[in-house]
Amino acid sequence: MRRPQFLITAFFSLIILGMLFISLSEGDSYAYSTELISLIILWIPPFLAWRQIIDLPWPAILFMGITLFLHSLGLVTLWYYSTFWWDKLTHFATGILVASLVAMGLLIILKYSKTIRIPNKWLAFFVFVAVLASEVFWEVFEFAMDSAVGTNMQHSLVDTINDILSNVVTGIIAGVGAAYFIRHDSLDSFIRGLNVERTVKRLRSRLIKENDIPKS
Amino acid sequence: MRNRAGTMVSLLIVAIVVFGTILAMIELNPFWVAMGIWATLTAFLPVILTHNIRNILPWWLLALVASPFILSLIGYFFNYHISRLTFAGSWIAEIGCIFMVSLVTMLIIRAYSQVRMNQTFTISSAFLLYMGVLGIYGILDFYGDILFGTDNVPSNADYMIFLTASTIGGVVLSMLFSYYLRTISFEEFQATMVGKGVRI
Repeated sequence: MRRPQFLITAFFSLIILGMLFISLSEGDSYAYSTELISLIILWIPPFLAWRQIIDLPWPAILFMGITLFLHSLGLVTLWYYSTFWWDKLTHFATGILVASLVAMGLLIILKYSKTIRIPNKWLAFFVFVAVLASEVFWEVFEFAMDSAVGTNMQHSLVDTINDILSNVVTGIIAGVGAAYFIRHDSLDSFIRGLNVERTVKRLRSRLIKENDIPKS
Repeated sequence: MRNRAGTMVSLLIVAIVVFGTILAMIELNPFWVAMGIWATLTAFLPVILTHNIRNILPWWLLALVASPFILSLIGYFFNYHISRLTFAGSWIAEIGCIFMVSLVTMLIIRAYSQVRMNQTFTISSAFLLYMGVLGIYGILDFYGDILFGTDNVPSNADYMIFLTASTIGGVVLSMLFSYYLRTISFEEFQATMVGKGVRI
């Protein structure tokens, strides 16, 4: 992992650790368990980089840190319950993060596949569709967790619909952003920076069948 | 280019879809209105792009897309319109229609644009589009309920059960189509999109 990525992770870890101690002292089990999970999530990118699976760029890690910080802050200060727009803000931030990760995944596929080619003008559409679908998967996951484990991830129908709606917006932003980025920057240098060559080779040998090359 | 009879059957199916869409408008059902418009657009897009009425989608593909509308029309004359179907019946009709229109949309993109996709990616993209549409479906129904005073999404649990079942349904449909496309050549299937070429 590169130095900026490590510093960002360490910085947000310290802040969230501080919030974890506050929540522990107040005995708020939902808050401290969430902060503990946030800390684990924060260290996933360094772990992936250490295992040479993928080296996420620093803006993605910074945004992940901000998102997890906002979420923990909302729990510690109880702004989730007192400020009506806090939930929308955190969901929007998470949406942008997820959308960026989905767009990154699609760009990796585009770079390494011999049979898939998506021109710039169509990229925004495909990223939008992938982001929206991932949001629906997430809602199903939340419902499954609430039903099976008894968590309280989904609050109401209005909340669910607002979550999907906010991801419609973030999907559009991510789609346009990805298309803009590819138009103005080199896909090759971006993907090279991710260090995913080894992972792609490993996946390709196991999963990807590219025997149906289109003739046209 | 399709023969005259094939074109006529395709046009007849589109007419049924348009009729069903008008009925859905009268019944204030935003979902079937949206699906009807989308299905009609996919049917006519090759015609618009190639300026040839005989390049309309093949009738058998259109019949699959329009099956809920065709069943609905038959049912209408027996006073059993689609809106009065049982939960399971309408659910199957809904997810079947969304999946087929999503798949046809991806096939049209593949046939008439510079986008190149292999079979796995085409079906995966169709599945993702299907999932995305399910999300938008919820938004449409929710705001439809507020605007028209209908009760299409009574509660979060109802919507989530629908969404979970539809996700599983989508996986099953994707697997079935993957299997079907393995039995015939994907290019052969794609060849039903006549007048191919980069136009969008």
